[in-house]
Amino acid sequence: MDNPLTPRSNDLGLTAAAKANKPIENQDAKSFFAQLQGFWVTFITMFKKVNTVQYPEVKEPTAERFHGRHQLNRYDDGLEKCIGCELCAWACPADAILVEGESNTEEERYSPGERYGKVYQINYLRCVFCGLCIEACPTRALTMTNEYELADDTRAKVIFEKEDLLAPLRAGQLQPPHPMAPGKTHIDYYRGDVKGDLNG
Amino acid sequence: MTPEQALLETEAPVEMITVVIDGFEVTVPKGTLVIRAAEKLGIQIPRFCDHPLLEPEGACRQCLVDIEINGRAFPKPQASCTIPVENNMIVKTQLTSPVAEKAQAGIMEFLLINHPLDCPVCDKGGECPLQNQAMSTGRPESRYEGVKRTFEKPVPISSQVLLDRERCVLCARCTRFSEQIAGDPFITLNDRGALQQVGIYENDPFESYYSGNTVQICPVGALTGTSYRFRARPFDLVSIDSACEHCASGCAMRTDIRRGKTLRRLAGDDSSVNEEWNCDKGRWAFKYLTSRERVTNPMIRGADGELHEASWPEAIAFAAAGLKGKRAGVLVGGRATVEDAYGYSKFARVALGTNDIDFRARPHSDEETSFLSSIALGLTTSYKNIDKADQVVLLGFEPEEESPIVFLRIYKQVRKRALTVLSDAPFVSRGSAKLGAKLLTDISNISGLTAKSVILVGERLSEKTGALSSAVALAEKTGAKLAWIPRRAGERGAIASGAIPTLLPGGRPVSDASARVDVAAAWSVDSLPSNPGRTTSEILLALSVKNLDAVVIGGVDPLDISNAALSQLLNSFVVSLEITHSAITAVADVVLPVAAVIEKSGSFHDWQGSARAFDKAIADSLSRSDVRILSMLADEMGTPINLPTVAATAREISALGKWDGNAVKFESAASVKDSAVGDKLNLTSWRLLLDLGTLQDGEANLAGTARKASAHISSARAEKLGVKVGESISISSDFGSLKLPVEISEMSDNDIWVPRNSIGSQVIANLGFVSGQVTVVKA
Amino acid sequence: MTTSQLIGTDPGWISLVKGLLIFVVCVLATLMSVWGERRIVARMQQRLGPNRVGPFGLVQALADGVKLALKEDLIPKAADRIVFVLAPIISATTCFMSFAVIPLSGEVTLFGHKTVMQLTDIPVGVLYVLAIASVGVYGIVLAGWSSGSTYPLLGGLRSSAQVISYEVAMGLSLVAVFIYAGSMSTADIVAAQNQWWFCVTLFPSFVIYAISMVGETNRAPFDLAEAEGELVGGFHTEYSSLKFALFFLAEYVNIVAVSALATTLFLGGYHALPGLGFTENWLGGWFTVIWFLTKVVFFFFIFVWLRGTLPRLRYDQFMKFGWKVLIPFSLVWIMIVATLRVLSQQGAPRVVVIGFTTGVVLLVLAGSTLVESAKKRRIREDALGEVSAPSFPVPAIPGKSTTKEVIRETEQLNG
Repeated sequence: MDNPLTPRSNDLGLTAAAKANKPIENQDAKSFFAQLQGFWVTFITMFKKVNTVQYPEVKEPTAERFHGRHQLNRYDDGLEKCIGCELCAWACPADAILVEGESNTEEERYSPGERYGKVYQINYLRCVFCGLCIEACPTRALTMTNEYELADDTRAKVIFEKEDLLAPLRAGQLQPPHPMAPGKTHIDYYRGDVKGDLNG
Repeated sequence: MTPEQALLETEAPVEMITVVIDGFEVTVPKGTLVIRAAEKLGIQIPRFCDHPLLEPEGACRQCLVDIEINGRAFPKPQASCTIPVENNMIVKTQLTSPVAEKAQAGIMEFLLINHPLDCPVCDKGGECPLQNQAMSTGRPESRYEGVKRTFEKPVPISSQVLLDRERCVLCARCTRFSEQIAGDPFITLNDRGALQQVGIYENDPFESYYSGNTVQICPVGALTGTSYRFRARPFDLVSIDSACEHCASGCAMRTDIRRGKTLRRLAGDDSSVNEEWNCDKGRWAFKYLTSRERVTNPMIRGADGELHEASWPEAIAFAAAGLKGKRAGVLVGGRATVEDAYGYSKFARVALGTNDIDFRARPHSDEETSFLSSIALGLTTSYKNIDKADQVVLLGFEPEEESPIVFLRIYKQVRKRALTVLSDAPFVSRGSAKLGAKLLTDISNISGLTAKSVILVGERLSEKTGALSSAVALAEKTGAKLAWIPRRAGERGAIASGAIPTLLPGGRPVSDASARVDVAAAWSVDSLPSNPGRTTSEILLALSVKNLDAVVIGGVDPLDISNAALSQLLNSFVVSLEITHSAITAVADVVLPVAAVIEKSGSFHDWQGSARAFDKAIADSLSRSDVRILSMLADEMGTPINLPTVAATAREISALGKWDGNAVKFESAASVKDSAVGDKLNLTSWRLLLDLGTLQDGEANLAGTARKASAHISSARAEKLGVKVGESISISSDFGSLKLPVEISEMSDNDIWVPRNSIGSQVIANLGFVSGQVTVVKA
Repeated sequence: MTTSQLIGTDPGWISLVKGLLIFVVCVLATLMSVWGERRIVARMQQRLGPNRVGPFGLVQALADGVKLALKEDLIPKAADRIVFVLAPIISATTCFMSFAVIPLSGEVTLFGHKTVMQLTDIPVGVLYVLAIASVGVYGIVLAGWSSGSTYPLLGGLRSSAQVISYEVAMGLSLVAVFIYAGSMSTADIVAAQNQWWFCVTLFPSFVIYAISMVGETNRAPFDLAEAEGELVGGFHTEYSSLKFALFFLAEYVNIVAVSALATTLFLGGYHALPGLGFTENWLGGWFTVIWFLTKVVFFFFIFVWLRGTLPRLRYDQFMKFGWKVLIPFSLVWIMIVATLRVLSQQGAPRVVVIGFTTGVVLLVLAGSTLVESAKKRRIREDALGEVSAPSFPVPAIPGKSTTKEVIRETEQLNG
């Protein structure tokens, strides 16, 4: 295995390419009839099928892994996956995410483990939908949905809070705060051993 | 000790040694560790347990390098943090030696084997030496496929510090610190091998006033602070160099702010003052800055007797109307910055035309006033004198409670060379015990003091008449260095700014005509009042008998002065410049909100007289400093003082300069022997570091580490009273009483000691005085 | 009755009605032109145009007009207020005025009165139109000057210089028409095209006129003076709200006006296509209006087509073209036409006419060949020697090589 500490060569070979002689393209004006060809192009384009999509009556479906609005996911029993570690805020190149962590107590538990995200905001006026935050999240709490219709008319409305971003509760999920599944530790949750409908 | 310190200590030349590290030559004093010598060349050898202020341990083995002496190479790579340089030594670090590189990578792998994958939930993430050095020195992927050892976590070892044993890399920095620097060896490494863990004694919580430093020096997230837990990440924080506003030790601090709120304060680096340490109060008592009780808008007491919010012009006009032409006094309080104190000083003389200004919001005496006006500013004793002292005498001064960094400095010498410490306290306190202090009975007769001895006088010496005079006489007789160490950060600066009835700024005596002319010229006024002013107690008395009509009060808690102080103010016009609502604002006629330390720039003088300046930490804060408000007030009163900003004030102070003329003579007072009358006991007390002080408001975790209040009596007295340790006694005076559990200490049978301002033990409020006779019975 | 006689017997109220109808038709034509331009240019760019406001976006122009009316009306502080307000009025009114002499239909019956859809007929009708167009330039120049701002001033000067240059070429191209028709009256010119339309017999004039009408109206590819990226908005930069709407209106009415003039002078006015002459009597003579409008729409489509296809010419390029190419060509052509006319009038034998024509054609061919070879020689002489490739990275040439090939090439050079 080659030593990971030795850097690779950065040479892209451009200087060598520049040294090779290449002539300039012929710059004569085209003949008169060739220029008239342009008119035929525009004329015939009039009868081609247009690319216009009649949004909002017609909405083209997005790609499968489309970068849309973010979503904070939950475990199967409803506990939030977000541990408030701020790695997404750290990764964000546009400084769009604000996170403040807080300790879980036994009476008020929002996520398995010690820490949860108390404040979680994404400012969609800053977000460039690059997805670096998704890549950074260690618990896969943060993912992106395919929703892109986020425009609104005031700044405040476009800053999404935790309630706006949390995944909706599915059947069998209980809204936190509530304790972890009986007999399970946070390691079990992280390993994915806490599955299925645990709340009946 | 480090060779640098050796250099200071003895003026003798130190032997220099030349070594070759990675092909580069470097010349360092004898005794320098290899790792330090490499740093001089800019070569960073990875390390965890090494710390320049702690004795070398070689616990983590990360700093392995290849060493060759006199042509003979060591067979194995050595820990560079434990090996001092030698002549003809050739060192190859990870930069030039593949063996060293592989060894360091191996050690890093060992450390990471049992280290939990906690980075997302660990507070140290982002500023973690383990993360950084794992990236620079470790391998990119782990080879470990086993199960990591786990412990229950986190374990609170005090209400302020949490221990996470899984993350500990067993560097022993915390244990070495608590033993070598703080002297509180309550945290140790237990067990061996893979199960070795940091622990505390079963029944003794980690009770140390310096526990926060272990959080700061821990290279991983094993020791974390409760109040900062999960609060923020390093990239959220804006760090500002600041000065501590609590005690007069003068620590350099680094304040970390997120979105306008202080989230934590770390000890800054100042080798001549606090090295890299601070105390828990300086580190964690900052929640008052965001207290709900903060005054946000000026307030005026209306005709209905209630305070109503008003606009600035309205409030200033009302205050000016109440002060103009009236006889007024100024109570500055002990926490003003130098510039603010100067503002108060100039305001009193120029706008109010009086010398009735005093910064002492605590028990004081005329003897002390004379001492401060004549001698205090001329004292040049410094921390270095403590380093070189042959004896240290503590008079009315309890270093661990009143100026913790001074304690650390003394303790360092005690540990290194068994420095003799003498104390005039009624009993050997916890701090004094660590220093091995011997008790004094007669302070006028101390033997063995030389010119290298240091006499540290506290503010409490003013409570015993004649004691200050004895201390001064002692210093003169023996040539020992005298130092005056107040409890609060702003007191030394207040004297230099003239916030005292007998001095003008720069140490100019009020009684000296040429000094008055000097200042009057600088201030562009015709003349300054020549009668020396009244002290705090005199001002309060004058207000109560209507010899004064109005008073301007800064940050003062009346219960720190006397229990009559508040009532003495009641019928006067009170202008209060306060941060939060307090007992004073409850009776004030005008309340003007001032900026707290992070919202303004300024400087503090520590007890040495050295200034530490700090900038405005919250750049867009709209709060106004005291000096700015006073300037507005003076403008409105028609007698402007022209100090619109802190910067302008600082410029004026430096332009005015120090007084180089004659100083006032110190008027000594005769000692008064205190006599125990019958079965009454002499009450003694001092304030603990963590108590009911206003600046410690809002931080419950810190309050949880405060020492429990208990009364100390001798065993004979306890027997006489029929109480055992832990049982309650009732201490009463004509004014009121206290009930406290008993502690037995070796002390005079006629003395009793209680904490001055702790929970259950508020002496001035409940007993009415700080020194006097009290009746003690079993409760 | 001749057209002028018909018009001469119009009672006053008929003239008023005609005037009103012309005005309405112009404004409607503007609305339709805006709509048409946006939709047609859009289709040429493989997209739809506006289709939200009204069915097929027909009401879009109206909505835009209303929007413009509701905008804030600004007059810059440094502007000359009176002239500033006057300039768009001048522009707008002059372009409507040129419709006064355009024959929109043949003989029709209007409210029981026999007349033609032409407001008036003066013996110097076309000259009148040219004169009005020249007055219209005032609107532009005054707008640019009175704005009190540098960009409008420069834009206004450029625009006006361009317009008057192409007016010269336009006028010259029309001289041939006058020679052939024998009159400057629009009605007579239309009547003279009963057999052959002048676009066939005077084809070079037609071409020159077509090019100069594009240049006259500041349309693509000659629209540098008002292209947004070049001089902000040109002469109308500082205008907002209704004054700007007037300029906007004036531009489009101008387009319709020059198209109408082209139709009248070269496409036979309201006459039907040769062979379909019987349609001229449909709808009581009103069908000729349809023919007229169709031809105007055809010209309008050419305008839009040019805009959608050609890149913008640089100012110096089209000034050079106007002065150094169009005007000399039209002068030469006029000489040829005049000679032919004199020959035919003097009753010269056919042989002379054909000989003369052939000689001209041969001369033209020889001349163009000489010009071509001279150009080629100049290019060969100008050709630069072997130039080294630039020392910075260059992207792959589309159609020539792909990015992959470029990378492979450079890697091969690296070895």
